[in-house]
Amino acid sequence: MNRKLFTFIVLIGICTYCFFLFRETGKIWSAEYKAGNAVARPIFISDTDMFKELERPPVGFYHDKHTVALEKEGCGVCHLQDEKGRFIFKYPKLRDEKTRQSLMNSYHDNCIGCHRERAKAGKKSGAVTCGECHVVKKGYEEWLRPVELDHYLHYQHEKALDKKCELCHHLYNEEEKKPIYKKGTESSCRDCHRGKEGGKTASFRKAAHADCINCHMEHNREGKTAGPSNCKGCHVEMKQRTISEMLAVPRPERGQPDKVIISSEDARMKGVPFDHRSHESYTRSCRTCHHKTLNNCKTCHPLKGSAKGNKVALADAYHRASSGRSCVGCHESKKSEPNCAGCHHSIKGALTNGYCLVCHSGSSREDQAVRRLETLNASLPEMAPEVIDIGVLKKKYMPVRFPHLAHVRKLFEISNRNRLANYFHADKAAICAGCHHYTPIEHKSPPPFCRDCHNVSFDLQDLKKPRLVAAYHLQCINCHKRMKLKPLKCTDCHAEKLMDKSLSHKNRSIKVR
Amino acid sequence: MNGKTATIESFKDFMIFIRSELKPKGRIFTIFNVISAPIILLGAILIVYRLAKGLGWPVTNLSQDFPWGIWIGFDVMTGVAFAGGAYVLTFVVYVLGAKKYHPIIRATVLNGFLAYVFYTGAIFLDCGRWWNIVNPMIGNEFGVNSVLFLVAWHFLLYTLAELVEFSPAIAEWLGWKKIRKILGSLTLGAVIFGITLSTLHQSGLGALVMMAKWKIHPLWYTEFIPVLFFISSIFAGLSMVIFEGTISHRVFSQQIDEEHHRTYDDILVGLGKICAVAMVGYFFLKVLVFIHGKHWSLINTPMGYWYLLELIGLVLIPCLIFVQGVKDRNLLSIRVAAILTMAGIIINRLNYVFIAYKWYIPMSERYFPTWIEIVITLAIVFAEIWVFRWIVNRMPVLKESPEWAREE
Amino acid sequence: MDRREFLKTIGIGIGGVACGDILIPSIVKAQNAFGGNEFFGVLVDTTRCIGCMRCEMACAEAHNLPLPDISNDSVFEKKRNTTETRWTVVNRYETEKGKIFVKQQCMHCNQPACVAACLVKAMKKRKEAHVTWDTNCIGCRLCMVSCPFDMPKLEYNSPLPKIQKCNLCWDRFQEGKLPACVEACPVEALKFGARRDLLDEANSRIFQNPHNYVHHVYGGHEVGGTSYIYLSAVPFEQIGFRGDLGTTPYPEFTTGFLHAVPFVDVLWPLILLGINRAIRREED
Repeated sequence: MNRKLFTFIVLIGICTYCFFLFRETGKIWSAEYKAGNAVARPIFISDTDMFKELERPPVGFYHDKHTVALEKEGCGVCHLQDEKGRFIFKYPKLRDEKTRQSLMNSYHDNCIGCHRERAKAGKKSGAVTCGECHVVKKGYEEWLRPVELDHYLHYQHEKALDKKCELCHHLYNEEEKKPIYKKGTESSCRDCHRGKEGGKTASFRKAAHADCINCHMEHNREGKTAGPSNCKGCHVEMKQRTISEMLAVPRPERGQPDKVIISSEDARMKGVPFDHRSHESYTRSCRTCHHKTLNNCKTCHPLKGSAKGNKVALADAYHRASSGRSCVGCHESKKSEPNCAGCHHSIKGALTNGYCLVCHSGSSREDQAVRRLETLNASLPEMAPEVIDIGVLKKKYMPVRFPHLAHVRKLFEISNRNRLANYFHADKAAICAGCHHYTPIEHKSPPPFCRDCHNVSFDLQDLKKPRLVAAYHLQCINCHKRMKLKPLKCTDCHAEKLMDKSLSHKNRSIKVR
Repeated sequence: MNGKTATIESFKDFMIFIRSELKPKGRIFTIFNVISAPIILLGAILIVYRLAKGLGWPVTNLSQDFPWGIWIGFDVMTGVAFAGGAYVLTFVVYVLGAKKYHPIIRATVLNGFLAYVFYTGAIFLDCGRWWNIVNPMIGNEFGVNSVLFLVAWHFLLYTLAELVEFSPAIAEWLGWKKIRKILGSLTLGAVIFGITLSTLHQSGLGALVMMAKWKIHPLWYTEFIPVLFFISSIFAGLSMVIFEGTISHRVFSQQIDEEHHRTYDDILVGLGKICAVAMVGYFFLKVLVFIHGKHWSLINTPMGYWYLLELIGLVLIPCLIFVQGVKDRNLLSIRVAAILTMAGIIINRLNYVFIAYKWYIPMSERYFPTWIEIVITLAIVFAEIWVFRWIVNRMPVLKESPEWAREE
Repeated sequence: MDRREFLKTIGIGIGGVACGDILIPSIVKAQNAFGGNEFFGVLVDTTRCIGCMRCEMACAEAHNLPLPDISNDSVFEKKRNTTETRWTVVNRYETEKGKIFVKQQCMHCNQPACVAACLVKAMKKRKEAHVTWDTNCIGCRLCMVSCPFDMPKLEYNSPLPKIQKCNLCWDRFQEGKLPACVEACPVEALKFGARRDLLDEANSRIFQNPHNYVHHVYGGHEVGGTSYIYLSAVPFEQIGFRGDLGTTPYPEFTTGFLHAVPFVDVLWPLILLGINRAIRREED
């Protein structure tokens, strides 16, 4: 090997190393975008139904950026208008391309064409090369929150449009090929406008965008108050309302009953009295329980189930615990709310005799709830001691003075305030069982002591059952934690022993052995 | 001296002889002495200080996160790799019968032997409970499942084997003809024994860190660490032989005869050849391990650059320089390559002990040796050189064996 | 409180202390039940831990270590590691499910790396689970290098240093007592028992509260299983555990090498001698 070649190789080696050495470090994806900046988030154009497999990464299209940049020119730059001047929010303009190639060309012609023209005219313009648009972007595919027209929004629209339901709700007349309105048939848009694109009926997405945005824009032009017409106005900034806010909203008028007895002819169980009116205020929209239609349940879910109702039988439709639409499912989910979770987190819904009859009473019981509340209040102090000193275990602290009656009062109050709880906690034993589990309350005698079941010492054979000290702490702390009560310090319950300073850990910790 | 040695017969004579030999020869105030003597002295004091004070700060910067520092990383791990020249050369000379390298064999073996003796000393200092250090030998529980147990025993036995390999020189020095004969006949056995032990403890040092799986940077951790340690010890040891030979040929020039001076260039070129071959093997093994590890993304990180510096800058480049040096018979190239290689080995071993070890710990909490650690390390190295010099000046290490021992 | 009531409470208090300590029959029974072949262990349910640090205090008291200051929460501001004088520490992690407290200590692996690393068997795995340290240690610190959880700690600042770490209260165990931390825990976030039972209990807690736990028992299979096993509400990586330790027992990383040793020791000399003889004969 001659010297020159050798030097050359060495130089290349050093250069390679330096190349790596001086390249910018820490160029990582994660640092590029910060969450929360919704405006700077793109809509991904992938059209997988047409494009199938993509050759390049999907284009992240910043719609609101374009809306702002083209404010003067208006939507017409990109979207077509129909004869009435309403915009058809399709892109590319016609979107009747049948092949992959033509759709792609259409996109490219429309986007790049416009960018080129504007650039030529000396206006602010966008990308013209492949790599500028087709960039891999990760991490925020799901930023567009689906818009839900809840009771509150619906009421706002009602108010603004003077209850002219026909402005939005319509049926479709096949013969005349135009929308018609018929009072009393109002339903969810999705009942007809399904999720699928390209069917005979416009997809929900298309219908909603066309009707909502055009109407909003029209109102805007006329100088009336109007809803948003950009992406983030509905999809990002729209506030989810809480149940308490919804309570103030008047109920929608669609001829629904106030109270019904839910029953079916061949059913074995008795009917369930159901207060439709009060449930309305606990739900966001009719769709919370009804699917897309506003039919009653057994229309699609007959006793044995039908294909229309996805083979879900009637009983299942009401009782399936994993479904948010069923009675049981929704009631179950309430148990995890702070007021309820304190007791309910440890009670694992074991069914007792007669449990079904709480709902399946077969008769309407108009005033029962109110009556129960009174009886509870009356029987409250009868056998509940006011304060209990828990001192079996204490070592470093004074015995705990447990304000028993205050706890009972509080729990009863919570239960009484809540209609649902009130209904199910028919027996006061149900509330007491939050702490006094597995033990009878309904007899006149007081329940057994905690220590009767929970050993003071540790039992290696019985890992399930906590020993006494843990039983107390777990019961109290877990309940306080779940009910989101303020965090407790040891001394909130235990008073520190004052007579023996040497036992106090504070003093001991100073002494270092 | 030959005449004198023949006269030793009684014990009293022997003592007189030893006493005369213990006296320093040559000039006392050389630059090396002036630098090294105070360091050795200081080192000795610091060793006492360390034994009295314990391992913690201010003696060392070791911490719960970095249990091993330069006493293990440099003295033991690197030192043992550098001493690997002895087993490679004895293999070449005694097993393969390549007589060409015979003139440097004794110096190499002596160097190796001393390295082991002094590095055991370093282990002694590094052990927290040093008074227990004989426990694995005397059977205060044999931890036979431990790699370190194996390494410890192989260390000890190999040190003995090297002593046996070197012992003919001692016998020649003392003029013990019969014993010289017996010891000479033991050499081949000791060599074979020694090579076996070396294979295992060179790779065993690598196997020590095998259980620190996630603590060592993935670019360095591989299940082939023992193999890599073994192969790297070949060229590490030979580079050390080249380096040490270069210096001792200057320093002890008058002890070396014409013949040896003439063949020495040949020997260096030969060693360079072996190094180059071993390094090519090592390099490709490293590359293979890297590709199998699928750690491409890690290359473009600071640790990746450090890895490339070690692999390309201090393995591949010295390897190429070796190749070039051998081709052109350019001794300067070979020596430069040897020094680069040694630097590479030092970095490699330190990587496993505290640089790539727990690489994720921020700089401020990382281990860096204290001056005491460095001084003690230097003192050990200098002390070894002193002993080496003492022996070379007295025994037939670089110079020819006495007449009577030469015929065999 | 009058005098009589005061005396009564004191009496009950002392009774409680005494009861808590005596466990001999229980442990003996549990040992017999498994023929003495079952490891013991501790189940740590991090969803229960309230961060009171009683375990740290009890540990220090039981092993004559400097007592920690548990009177305020400021210690939680920094993540702490165990040290030679603090064999167990509780750390606080802020997660999406709120503050989670995690107790750390030696995990008492079923096949400990430290035991495999020790060249004098100073680290021992007792057949009951405890990984303990003995004084014949030479202080080489290979156990510290090897431990996947970084638990053995050396007393660097002593001229006669020891390796210190949690020993699962080996001394107390022999007296028939619970580990100090387990006994001190007021909410039974720590549960002592046969490891197999604890695994069953851990899995049943997950099964019964599927939304409260991540569905994994840490230490069930990590590094071949550990005696301390953990439950958590959030992925374990978020509360300071390594998720990438794998299920291979750490000693197995060196067994490959160790198995090669006898072969090399026997075959190498023969091969070398063979080469030597072969070459010599050619020369002759």
